[in-house]
Amino acid sequence: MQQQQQQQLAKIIPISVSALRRGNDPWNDIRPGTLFPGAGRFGWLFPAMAANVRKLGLLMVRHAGKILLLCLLGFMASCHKPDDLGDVSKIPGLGGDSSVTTPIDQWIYDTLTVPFNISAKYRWDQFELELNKSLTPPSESKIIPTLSAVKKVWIDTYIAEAGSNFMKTLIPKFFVLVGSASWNTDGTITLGTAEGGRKIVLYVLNDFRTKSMPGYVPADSFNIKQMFHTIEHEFGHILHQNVLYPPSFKTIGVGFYTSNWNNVSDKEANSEGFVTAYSMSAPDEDFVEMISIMLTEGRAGFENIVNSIPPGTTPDNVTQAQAQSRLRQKEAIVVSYFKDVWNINFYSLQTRVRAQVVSLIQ
Amino acid sequence: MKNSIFLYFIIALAALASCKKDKTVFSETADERVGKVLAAYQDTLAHAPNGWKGFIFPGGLNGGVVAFYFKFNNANRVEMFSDFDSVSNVTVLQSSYRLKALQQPALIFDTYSYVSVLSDPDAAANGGSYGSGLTSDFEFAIDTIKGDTIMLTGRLHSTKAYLVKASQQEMNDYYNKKHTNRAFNNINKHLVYFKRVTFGGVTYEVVPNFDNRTVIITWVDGNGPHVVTTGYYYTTTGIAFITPIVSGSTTINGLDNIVWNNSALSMTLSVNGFNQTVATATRPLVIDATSPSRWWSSYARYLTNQGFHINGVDDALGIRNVTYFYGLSYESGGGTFLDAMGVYQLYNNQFHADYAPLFNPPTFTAGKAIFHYSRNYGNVSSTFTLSDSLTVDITRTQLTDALGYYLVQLGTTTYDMVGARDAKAWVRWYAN
Repeated sequence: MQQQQQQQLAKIIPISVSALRRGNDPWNDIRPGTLFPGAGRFGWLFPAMAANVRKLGLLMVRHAGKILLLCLLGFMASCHKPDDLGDVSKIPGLGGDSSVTTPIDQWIYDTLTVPFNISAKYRWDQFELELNKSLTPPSESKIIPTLSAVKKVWIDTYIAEAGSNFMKTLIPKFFVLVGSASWNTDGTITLGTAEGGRKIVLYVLNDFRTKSMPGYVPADSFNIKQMFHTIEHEFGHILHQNVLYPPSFKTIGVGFYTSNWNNVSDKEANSEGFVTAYSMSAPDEDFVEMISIMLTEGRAGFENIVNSIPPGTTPDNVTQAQAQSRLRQKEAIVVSYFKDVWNINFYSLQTRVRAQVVSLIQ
Repeated sequence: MKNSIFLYFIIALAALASCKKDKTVFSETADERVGKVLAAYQDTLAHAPNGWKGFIFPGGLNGGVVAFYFKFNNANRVEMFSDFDSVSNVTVLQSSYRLKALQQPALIFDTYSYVSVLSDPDAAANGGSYGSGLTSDFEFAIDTIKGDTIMLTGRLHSTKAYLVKASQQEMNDYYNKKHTNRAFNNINKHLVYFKRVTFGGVTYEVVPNFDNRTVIITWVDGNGPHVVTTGYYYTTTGIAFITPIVSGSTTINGLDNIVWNNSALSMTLSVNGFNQTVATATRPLVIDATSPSRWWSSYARYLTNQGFHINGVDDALGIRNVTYFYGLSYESGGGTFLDAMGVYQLYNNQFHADYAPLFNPPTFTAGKAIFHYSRNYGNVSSTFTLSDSLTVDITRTQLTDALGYYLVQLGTTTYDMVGARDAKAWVRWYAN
């Protein structure tokens, strides 16, 4: 149960980017699937398929006797026989996949495995990922830049504030790297997932481009910030799954959590007293979104979010002052949580993280 | 009753017979055999002296093919070229691969490569659809090895693919960057829609479908008309058909020595060594009498985002200049309602279709559809201006040309609608 709950808590951080706004040519959507509601490319197939399933069901009911007999025969034929397992050391792939070591493998081993016992799987392994999604493996040229940025922005800054033992204890041990984003049926994309505090899946590596890399355009800073947003978010989950935040946090935005968050813009969420739209999905997400945004945007960036809440009252009767006060209360709880539970000066950590993020994008 | 006693007897017999069996059919365990097969495949892949030609048939291309060249080594590395675009056809890319025992022995291109470009869910990478790309694969189950050919089946989308041992000439052509001829892509720059080539006294009509990387070849002989759709891929001098065209005793493998003359707007090429200039025609070689009614009745809505191509000019009537333009539709009312030419706009992240000329159902004569304007739906507004409505009126006038339009079916959901007046005006409809 605990396991399940943890998975639930840490499920995913779907940072929604509308499919329409991503590509150069949204027209592409027309060919394969439709953007017009209710007229999907294969939509017309479904009634026919449902009928077939019904037919199969009827068939099975009518011939239940024969099916039973067949099963009985099968059962008899399966009479006990001793199974010789053979030489188990000859099982191919036992102990995991092996490939000839490349410089990338060596770099990962030296930089992440030896000091932190982290492994990073970048070679494609479908079984680490959702089986029903079209995804691609990462480009080899993106692996070292991404992982070294991860180390600088996330690992090194926490170590500087909390010491290496803190990080070695809590750090997720297993990174899975994916080249593309994970596209959801509602048009949003998932940029990262975490499971049980052990495994983090990072998507969209192929779009990772820092200012020192050729072809960098300012729009790439979005991808970079999203990636660290994801990592800080998931690490936030690990922190609160080890020691829960004060229950008073849940009362600040009570009544405003909604599964309809993906139809709310970040700006609207701010006016309701939430730091992002996704933080409206649940108190746990709210808590880690606070951590994540405050770290990646920096103190000035967070102040900017709070101060740019427009005057007036939202449709849910939240005033500007109430929204700002809610964000301030949440900020205070996050800061004291870091101090009391992990003995970390949050503002100092924030300064370090933001400085690293800035160095990648400006 | 008698029957069921007999039945139970049979069951008892089966039960008895099933208990005694030979334990080993194979001399080795399954694991040992899988290990051996993997080693053999590895050996086959890595020891082809000139590497492999590869052909992948992504589901999203509906019969189209992408041609590859692979050179595998024994250290999980592969070098490749791909004819997917003009750069990947002359730029070698090294990436990683491995063989793995999954449910079947599988060949996995396990870091990003020209193979995974086709399955990239970001449509910007391959022109497919968002979320699934061209529905292709980079994990392949190895089905069989027959002679010089390895048959593959994708594990996620069941993409068909195969590898063929390359010759030394073919290998050198790739590494010496000889794959530069993509002149075939200009064939639609001919002012007239219908293009014809000849060989051995037979005339062949060539209709390219660049969306799917296929061509439709039509010809007529003593046995009547023939229509063949085949994927094509780029060679060093032109294109090759993945399924050769067989016409009587003649086999045509592709179009060679293609040269596009941009000032004369004409194309020269050779068919089986026979040099010629591509001819144009103002009507199809074989008129498909039912295609207009098929087009009209198969789908309720067809869309284009390009508008009419007229006399060599894309979107000659400027429909894309409509404010917030997203697409132009033709929507059948099925005879019950009026047909509509909808103008779809995209703003505030929502689609709007506030203005549309309406039509009586088209009439179908001699393989042509003729459109009949009825009246307009909707009004001009701040988001659909007067000048927008004038643009739409021009397009409506074009559509109602009294001579009508041929409908050339390119695929189950794609038609080119070609003006019968001079075949210089056409628009591509995608069923939606």
